[in-house]
Amino acid sequence: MRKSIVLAVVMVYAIGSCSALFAETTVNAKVDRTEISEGESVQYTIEIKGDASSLPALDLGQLPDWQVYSSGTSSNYSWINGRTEQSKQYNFMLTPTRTGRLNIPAFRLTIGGKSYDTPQLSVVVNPVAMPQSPNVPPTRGRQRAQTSQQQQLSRDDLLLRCTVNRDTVYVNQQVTLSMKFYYRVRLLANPEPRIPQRTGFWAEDLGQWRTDQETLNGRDYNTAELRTALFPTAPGTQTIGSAEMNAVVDDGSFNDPFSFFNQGFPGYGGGRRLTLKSDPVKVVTLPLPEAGKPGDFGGAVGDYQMTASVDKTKIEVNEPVTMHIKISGVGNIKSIAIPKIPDLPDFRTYLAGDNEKIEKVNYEVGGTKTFDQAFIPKRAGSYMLPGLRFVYFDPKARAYKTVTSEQIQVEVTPSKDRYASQVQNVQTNRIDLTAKDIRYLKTSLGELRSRRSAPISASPWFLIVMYMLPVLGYVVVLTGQRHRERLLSDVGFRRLRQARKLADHRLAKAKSLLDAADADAFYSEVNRSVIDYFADRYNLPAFGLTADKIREYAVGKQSDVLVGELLDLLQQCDFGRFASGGSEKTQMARLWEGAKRLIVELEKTR
Amino acid sequence: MRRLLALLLLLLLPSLAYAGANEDFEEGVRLYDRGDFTASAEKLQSVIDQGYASAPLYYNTACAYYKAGHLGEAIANFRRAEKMTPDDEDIRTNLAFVKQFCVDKVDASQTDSFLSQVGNLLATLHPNQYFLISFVACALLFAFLALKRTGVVAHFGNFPIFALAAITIISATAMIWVLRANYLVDEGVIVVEQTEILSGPGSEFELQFEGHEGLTFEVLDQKQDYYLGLFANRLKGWVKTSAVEKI
Repeated sequence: MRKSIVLAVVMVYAIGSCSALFAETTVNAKVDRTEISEGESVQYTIEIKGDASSLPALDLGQLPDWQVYSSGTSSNYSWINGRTEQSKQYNFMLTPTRTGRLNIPAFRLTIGGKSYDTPQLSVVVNPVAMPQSPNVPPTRGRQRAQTSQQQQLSRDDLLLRCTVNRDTVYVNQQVTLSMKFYYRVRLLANPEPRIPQRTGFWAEDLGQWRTDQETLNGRDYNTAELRTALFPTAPGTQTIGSAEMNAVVDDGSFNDPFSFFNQGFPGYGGGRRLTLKSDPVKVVTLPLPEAGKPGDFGGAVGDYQMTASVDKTKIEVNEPVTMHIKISGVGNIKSIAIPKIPDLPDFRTYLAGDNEKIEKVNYEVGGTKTFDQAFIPKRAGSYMLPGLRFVYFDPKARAYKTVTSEQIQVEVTPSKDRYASQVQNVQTNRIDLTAKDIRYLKTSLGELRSRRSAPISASPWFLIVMYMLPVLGYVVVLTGQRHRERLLSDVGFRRLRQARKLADHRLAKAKSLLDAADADAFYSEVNRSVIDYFADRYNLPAFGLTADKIREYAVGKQSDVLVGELLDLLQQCDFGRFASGGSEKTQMARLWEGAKRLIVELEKTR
Repeated sequence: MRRLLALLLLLLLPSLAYAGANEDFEEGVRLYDRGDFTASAEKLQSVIDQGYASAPLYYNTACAYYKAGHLGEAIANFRRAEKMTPDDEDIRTNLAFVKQFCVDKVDASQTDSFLSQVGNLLATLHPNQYFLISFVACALLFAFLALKRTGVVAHFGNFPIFALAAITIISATAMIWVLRANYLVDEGVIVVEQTEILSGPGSEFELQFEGHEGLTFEVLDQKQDYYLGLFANRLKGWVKTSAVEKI
């Protein structure tokens, strides 16, 4: 029996192990940079791989220390060589509202009833550094010459101005913000600038602080300038906030003869701390004209060129060919989207990647953005990959312009892969009847069944009953075997099991003697059947079993009434055998009936 | 007398119905021979629509659909026929032949995996056949155990026990595998030239990918007019019910 249980367990385990495997879903988050300067932005991306089929739009809401701008989603699905990859990316542009180590908290996503947490990330936001003191142009001699004047600081000795190169621009057209610090006094420490708020603009730094000298209103100044390229994201009047600058200047209280060595330690010699603030700057952003806007315009503004090339022109079915689409020029390169890829029925397409190279020439943002678009041919043949269109708005010409790439011919040969080669003679989704044909029809309708009928083996009760049959058979055989073994080994049990059978046998013999009117033999046989039955029931030797011994054994095992009847019957037998004159047949028959009934009654008390 | 007549009629009804279905079946074959595949498919489909089913009926209907240019319906009916008689070489060959015209090579890619190959191997027998094998092996196993207990086959050792137990487990597992694949799981096939597989049950949801005629999938759920399908490699998506025929 134990073996049967073990077999059943093994069977259940084997069945359980056959269940299908499930694909894993992974969620990750990343930033493109972990250290930025104040005023810069980081791209925060949440990527879901696996089952991203039932996700709603993701909203980060308000984040402490960050301004959040969604920059769209992207999805990738690919079936290549039997493997499927599915991923979805949510992109956000995060702009810090203060300096220091800022955290991007973890987010919990629920996908298919399971929860996934993104990792918490941190980004270091550095204050914008001014050039080091030795680089500041004012010469020491010049400062010393001005020492007598330093005690009377004029409000014109330090100035902070923010200006833009143009105050009216189109959406996504560059406007260059200049933050310039003028000073004509001795600085005792590096000034600490505070970049203005630039909400509504996509910002791109145009290098580090640049120092120079300049004459303003007839006065000579040392200057430090920081330029930033701004790209307005929406039409309307945008305001660039005030910039601030904290500076510690020598007001005469700093009178250390060894001042040369003490520069940079204003706390020792005093000095005067000043905070300068620039005026806000307004920029009017014009919407892009609707007139003449092509349907495939993707929002690019500037002046661009486009080229397209492929890594190979001879491929096999199901082998990807990568088209490198290169868009270069002047404008907000980062915001450029891939040109629309036309539907190609003979190819599967997916975006394999993109990269960008930013250049800042003469304070103008430009560069190159390259998209790698994979084309996977479904069938053999000669194909033209179409020329792509890229539409942009040229703010100088105030018109939309289109650049196109050349068509590229590719030769697709049948694949060595047996599955792909099966479809090489199929040009479309239509069935090609000229190919080898299907096998012919069946001529007999066969056995009809109900449409919804399931096989008998699909019924759990049928399976349970059928599989239990061998088990039950085994149990029956096992029980019978044990019974036989006990009969052989246990004499008392064997006599008990055979007592009734032997008694019936002897009574039958007595009946024949009754019919033959052989009274002596009849009484003797009846007496023997009853005595032997009793002896077999209680595993006693039949020889010498007297009335007294019967009474002694029967105490507590049989009712007194039955014992009395038994003894009475034995007495009648003795009387019949030994009494002279013989017995009447009816009396003998009554005795026989009594003996039979008595054995039945004794059997009931087992 | 009337009762007797009614009883006779009741007994004759199935054979009368069979005769009618057989007539339509033969008419469908004749139409096919004449090259009128669309009419042949309609005639054979009418027999199925009456509630009848047999492997040859599904097989012939599938052939007619294929010839009439309906790849999706052809695959659906070949699969139904295959479920009934998985060891029929004609059905397996024609199904494989027809599947090569599917744009989405999902089924082909599936066969690359070890599990799929095992599944294909197991699918060559009907679940009832697997049951018979496992039941006979199980009965022999317990019979052998009983004989061993009684000492009749004591000299045989334990090898037959392990062998019979292994046959029982393997064939029972195969039976459950095939039952699950063919009867316990709903299957669907795309019957339109091209349809969108969406991320949710509605046109407002995002496009996951495009499925083409003949693409088969496991139907997991239904909401409104959309089926949630489990495609190859565990890819899920919602398909319009009007573009799908359940197998």
